[in-house]
Amino acid sequence: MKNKIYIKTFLTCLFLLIIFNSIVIKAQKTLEFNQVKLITSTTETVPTGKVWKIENIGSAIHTAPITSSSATPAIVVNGTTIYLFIARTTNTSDYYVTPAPFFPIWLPAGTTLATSNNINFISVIEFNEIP
Amino acid sequence: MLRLILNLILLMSISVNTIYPQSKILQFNCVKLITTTVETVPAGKVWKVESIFTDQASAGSPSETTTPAILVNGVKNYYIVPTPRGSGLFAYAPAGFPFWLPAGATLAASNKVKYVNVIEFNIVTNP
Repeated sequence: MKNKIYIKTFLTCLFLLIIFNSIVIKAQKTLEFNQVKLITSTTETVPTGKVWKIENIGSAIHTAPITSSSATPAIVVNGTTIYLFIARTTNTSDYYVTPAPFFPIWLPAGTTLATSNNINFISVIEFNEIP
Repeated sequence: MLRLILNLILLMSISVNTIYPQSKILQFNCVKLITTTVETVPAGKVWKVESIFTDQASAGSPSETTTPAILVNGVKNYYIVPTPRGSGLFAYAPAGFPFWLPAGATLAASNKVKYVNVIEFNIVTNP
């Protein structure tokens, strides 16, 4: 009889422990790989429940100097042009480009993204947000 | 009582699986050196493009046909960006790695690039 009570108590504790662990483990938010995407000039939006990690870009620029801001490689985030290469002048007032160490960049759900000047594609990893 | 507990545990694990469905993970498959022969990322895989091997010995004059480049989906992308080294002189600074390609994307070496260094991953669904 006493043994039965011990076994019952043990099993109840085990059960409660499993439930507790499940709640604790799942209470943390985690990121889970979903897919790899190539974003082009068509504007795309980070879907609800996802985040995007921009890994890098495909640059169409093959020579320097860059002579105007409209040629400086850029992407468009939420409708704003973001320049990915730093343009600077020399003594002769020509513009040259130096790659800026901007990557990776993380974007939350609802953010829009597209390529702009002299960028062929944006390489993105999409993650699911797991509550 | 034991049967009740076992049933509850079973029910709980079913609920957890329903709320948190199968997850995807990336599993290493192989390392590849892509040449000028166009290759396609196979279905169920992704490629991580790590770097390039250039046979460009000196900077020279950068142009559409001489600046080291690779072909992604048939379009030339320049992964060594010219930077100034004084008036009228150019040096090359590597840029743009790593980047990822989804299944169906094509890749090949182009101007002054001998190999494109790639890691292939399987997209595995965890039960």
